[in-house]
Amino acid sequence: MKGSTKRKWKESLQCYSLVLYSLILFCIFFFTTNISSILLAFQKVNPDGSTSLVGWSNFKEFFQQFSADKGMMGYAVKNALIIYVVTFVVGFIMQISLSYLIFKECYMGKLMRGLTMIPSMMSGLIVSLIFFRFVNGTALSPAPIESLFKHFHFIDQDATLNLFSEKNAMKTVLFYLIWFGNANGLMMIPTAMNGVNSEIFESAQIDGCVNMFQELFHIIIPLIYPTLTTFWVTSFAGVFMSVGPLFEFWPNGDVPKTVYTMGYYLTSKLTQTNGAVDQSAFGVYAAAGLVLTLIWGPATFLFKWFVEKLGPQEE
Amino acid sequence: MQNSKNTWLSVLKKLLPKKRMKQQKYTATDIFAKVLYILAWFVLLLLAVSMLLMPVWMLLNAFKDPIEDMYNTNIFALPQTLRWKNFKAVFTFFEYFDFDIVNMLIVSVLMSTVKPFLSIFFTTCWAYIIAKYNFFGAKFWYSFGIILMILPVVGTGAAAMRINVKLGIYDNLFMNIITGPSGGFSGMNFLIMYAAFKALPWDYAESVSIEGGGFYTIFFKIYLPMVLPNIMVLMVLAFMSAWNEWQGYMIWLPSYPNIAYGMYLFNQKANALSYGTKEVLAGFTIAAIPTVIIYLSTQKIITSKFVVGGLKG
Repeated sequence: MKGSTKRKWKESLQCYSLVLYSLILFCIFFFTTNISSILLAFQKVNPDGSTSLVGWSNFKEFFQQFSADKGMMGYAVKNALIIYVVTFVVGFIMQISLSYLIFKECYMGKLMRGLTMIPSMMSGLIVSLIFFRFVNGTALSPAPIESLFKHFHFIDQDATLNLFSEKNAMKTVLFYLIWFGNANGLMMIPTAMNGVNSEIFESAQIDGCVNMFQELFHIIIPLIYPTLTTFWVTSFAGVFMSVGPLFEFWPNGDVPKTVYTMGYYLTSKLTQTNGAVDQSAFGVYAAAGLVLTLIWGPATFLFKWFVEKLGPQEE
Repeated sequence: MQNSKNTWLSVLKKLLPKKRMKQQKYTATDIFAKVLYILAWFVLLLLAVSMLLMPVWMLLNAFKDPIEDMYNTNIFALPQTLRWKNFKAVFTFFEYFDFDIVNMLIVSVLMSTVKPFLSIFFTTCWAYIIAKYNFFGAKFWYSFGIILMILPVVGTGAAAMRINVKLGIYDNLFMNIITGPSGGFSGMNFLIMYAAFKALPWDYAESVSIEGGGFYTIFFKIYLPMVLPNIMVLMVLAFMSAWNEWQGYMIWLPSYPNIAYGMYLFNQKANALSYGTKEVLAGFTIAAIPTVIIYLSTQKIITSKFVVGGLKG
């Protein structure tokens, strides 16, 4: 017994020695950052970089910014949720049905799967910047997409699309995220489907499970459910951190309120303006983060529990 | 008329799933499923064509003279002469700044190789010890890693910024690289490596132990070589992700842009410095070339090896 405990201690020391460096970094950057962030939520950063306690005033300011005339926080939270729900629902339906086609070796399936990987090949940044230049035009130089639509008479010759106006911004961002966000799903979901034993399909066909719906809902989705829930839960967790293509579409910071998101707020506050990062709003930033973590943390675990409950139960 | 009808029928037949047993009767649900299948095929076709449309437009226009657009409204017309000046303009643009394209290339290469290598190495070490040893804290770190993957810790950027500034990591390339491998027991890469080690039997380790091999020999000479294919896949994916990364540079390394962030700045400031769309598209072409080559040469390995499991804590 004593020997086995001694051996376990030795083994533990050896194990920790292998990862010691990353463990030290983790302690510094995870624990210190999180504790410091909680403290910062109750502090104000002075112009000289020092901090002073301000009680609950950062939280008060954060909640005040939900009123439309005092800030963008209300829009930031609302838009982040809208983007998540729409891209989740439409994206899932699209990715699962298109993955099924690829899995079933549909006509030209391999070629089309290869083409859908283009955003992964070229980088999201380049794709979003090309998209912006492709669909955004001015009075003097019309967008290529407008020329294309006019050529095929989809729109009037004197019409302009104005896809980045305040009115259309959300639709454009949603279209971009759904349409160009398929690459990862179409890489992983068909691979997961290929992992399903072909004998299961054969025996299911004998039992009368023959059409697309039956195969999808009775065989494929239940069997790849763990992979799907991983994506669902991690994307749900990232709702308020996801920035989307806002920096690319509005590079000068003039993001319309109809599409302004929490992720954009959190990222833009950390970027330099005139050669320095403005730390005066860091207190409100940390307070916003703390409130959202306290709400969204339990919500994510609840969501995980819910999707696991919804799925097939392991025996 | 009859011929064209037959052609359409043959195309529609091709669209239907191959692995399908013959049936006597079709129910309404079967017919509805078939219609949806064909509809989904057209959506896939549209998606694939649209993905091709913009890169083709980028490539054609990267070589065009802006004057060509004035007398040819066909946006997909071939360039009349190959205008290499557009590419040259990308290099001259960065002369306005403190960094040039060679420096950006060095930053891109360093951050896409050294940083991911360190990160994946430590992730592999964590995955190995947690999958193969019952050491003190093994279960804790595994569960903690899963919780960290799920738990959304929002808004710690401000505190992280202040700490990074105090520790001299902010806007410091070397420090940014060496502080990269923090917490390798969480994330998708960890789960993939954990599954890879779990699938390997422990018999090899026992044989090496009998022959006098120790902890490090077992890891470095036996198990690490066995998971090298998985590590290579993660390295390729990490390389591409790091090569294309740009927001991290905007926040943490504003004085050290890589190629991707450089292109973002180029796109942002092009109009103000009298650069047109053609030059910007030439810049995008330069930035896209390395990742396209790497992706195409490794696509088979990536698509066959990259399988993600569930999140069981």
